[in-house]
Amino acid sequence: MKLAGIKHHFKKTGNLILFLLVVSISIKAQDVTKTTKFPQQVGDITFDPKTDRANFELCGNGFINQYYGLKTTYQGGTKAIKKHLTSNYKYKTAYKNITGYVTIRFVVNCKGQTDRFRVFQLDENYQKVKYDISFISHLTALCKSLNKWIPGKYNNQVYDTYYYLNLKMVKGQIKEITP
Amino acid sequence: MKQILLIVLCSLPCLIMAQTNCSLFKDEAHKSACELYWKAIEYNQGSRESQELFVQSLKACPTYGPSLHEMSVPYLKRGDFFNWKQLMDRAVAADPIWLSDRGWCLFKFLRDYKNSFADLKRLYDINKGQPGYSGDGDYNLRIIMALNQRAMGNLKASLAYFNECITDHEKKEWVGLFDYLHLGVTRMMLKDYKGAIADLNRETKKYEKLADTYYYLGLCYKKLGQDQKAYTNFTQAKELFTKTGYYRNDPYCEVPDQVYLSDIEDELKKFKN
Repeated sequence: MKLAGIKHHFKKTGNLILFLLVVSISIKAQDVTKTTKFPQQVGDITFDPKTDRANFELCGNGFINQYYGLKTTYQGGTKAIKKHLTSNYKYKTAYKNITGYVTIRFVVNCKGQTDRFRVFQLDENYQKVKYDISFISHLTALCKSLNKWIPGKYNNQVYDTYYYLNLKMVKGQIKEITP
Repeated sequence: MKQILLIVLCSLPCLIMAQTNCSLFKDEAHKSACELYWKAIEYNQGSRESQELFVQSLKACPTYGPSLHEMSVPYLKRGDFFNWKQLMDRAVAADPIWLSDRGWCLFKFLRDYKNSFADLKRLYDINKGQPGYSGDGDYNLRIIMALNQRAMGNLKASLAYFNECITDHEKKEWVGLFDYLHLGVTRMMLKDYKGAIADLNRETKKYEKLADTYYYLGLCYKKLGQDQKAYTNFTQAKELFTKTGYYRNDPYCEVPDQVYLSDIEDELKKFKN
């Protein structure tokens, strides 16, 4: 093998090793059983001044419950959420290859206001993926436009809760919405 | 009778202890994983303390199914389906018994009918047609298989699973609380309105005050042109929905064939026009 060939071979091999290293690191980072520091509760969302509203008020002492424990709901239920999201969703041909799940998690405070939106994107095989940024922005804006939340309640006292909306996408169209 | 009751009551602590008896495992890895699992579930689900103990349990035995499953649950309930799936895939790889939970949750939380059915069919084959029950106990998993087929548009295949499960359970008087309701709605989708009415009437015998059943009965009678009966059933549905509060509802997710008050009211409005 000539010197140039060896250099080229080394460069290719080196790149391959680097690639494998990056992949192995990312796979390792994705294994939750290797986590060394968990949040106080799975799914906790910490305030991020870059994305979250500073004037979004939490009513409690910082502990945020889950929607299913306190029956946080939406006026008209999931049916109304589905109607709002599907009727306002604007499909673009650029979205035609999007098949998978987009989950948007957020806080519904005791006044029924929402903030701290976080987005999870998965392909149809449940692998992490990054979809078109305008598509994600559009879905997030749609979720933010839902404004008829009924806060979670316990013993006639309203509380802050986490909620999520999971959108099953098939070829860029919303097929299912849970919960 | 009293003696039997006494024996059962006296045996109860032993039965409970048997659940926690990790010393039944012969190898140290499983024994340790089991002990850490029981410590983990003493804490609130999804709490740091609980998740850390599951991690320790899985360090002791990376294939310990109960820890993989239980650690996955808060991710599922809180919309982190990546981590839920990773953990449940490991649980299933370790022991196909976990197909029941993965299959049921793929249906309930993710509406992934194809993969849910694949999981439950695999379990059905392994267990010779008896895949067991959903995690919440509401359904025999053959009913979930039927609902998966229905959601994929295979109504006749759906009906076959409904019939197999219900026929089997009628012999044992174990028919599920909502089985006739879903069967009736499926027949309604097949435009077999008389058959649907027969099933829905069976549901009213099983669960007399369930508002949802009367809504679907109303729809069937409407399709058959029997408006008076349709109106009576929609009215009954509204009455039950608003006064008794017995209607399909679940704290986590919208349930199959769930009816909203607005659905009933929309139908009633059509009679006034």
